[in-house]
Amino acid sequence: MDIQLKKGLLDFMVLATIKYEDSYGYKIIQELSNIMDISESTLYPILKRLEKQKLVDTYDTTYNSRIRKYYRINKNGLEKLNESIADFEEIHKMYLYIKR
Amino acid sequence: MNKKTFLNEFKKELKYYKKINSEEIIYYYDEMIQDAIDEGQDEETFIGNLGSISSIIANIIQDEDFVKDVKTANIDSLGNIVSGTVKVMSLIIYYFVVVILAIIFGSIFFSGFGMVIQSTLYLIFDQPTQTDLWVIVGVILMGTGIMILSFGLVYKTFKANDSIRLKIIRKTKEVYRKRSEK
Repeated sequence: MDIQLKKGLLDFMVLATIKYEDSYGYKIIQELSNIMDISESTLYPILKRLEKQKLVDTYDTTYNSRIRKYYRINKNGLEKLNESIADFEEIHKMYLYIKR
Repeated sequence: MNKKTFLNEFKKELKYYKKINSEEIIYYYDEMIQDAIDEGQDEETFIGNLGSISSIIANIIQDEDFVKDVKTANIDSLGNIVSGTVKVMSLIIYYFVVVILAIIFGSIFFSGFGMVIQSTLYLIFDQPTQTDLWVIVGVILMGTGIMILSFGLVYKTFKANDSIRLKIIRKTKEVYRKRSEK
């Protein structure tokens, strides 16, 4: 897929992944890789950006006596995700137009 | 490559990207790899699939917003270096190394070449005894081996040329940075 196009969508894909359940890097990759091509090095800047834009909160938990960083969607993140749905509907219309 | 080696090499490489939060990235990859191992994935295979360290870094700094944030120094080009002196300095060091290497490889080659020529001449013009003959053939073979070795070294060095050049540039930049930070 076109990189620029993909970049725009990936943030929402990650937000959608943690919408119902907090998650961590490896698990997010596992879930998303069922749907799209995503690598560990692609995810890192996205998580960083979401964190910086204050769309997600993070916290550390201990797992197997090591620390694991969890990502949780916050109110801003949920709002942003909901807003994106309108955009995706528009994209869907474009898709149908392109495909016709 | 196992996790420890991978993370160490990654750390070493990240040193050149001062504004990237290397500790955080290392932490991220450490956790990612450990999670994969705990899930039963093969350590070496998983790390192999991550791609080369340079491509990982390239991928990370490709992200435009991220680039804006981290203000990465484009380490591999001399173009945006702070001072022209550094540029000249690193080029001088680079060519100095090239000349030194050429001298070393040249002398290895000529010592092999000399062995072959001298023994061949001896073989042709003097009448060597049976025992001498074995020694001479041995010396010719050794000389040939040394010549091949020098070719191999030149080939290897040419292949590694790029990384040598980059290392010198990086080192010079590092020295320069340290000095300007003082």
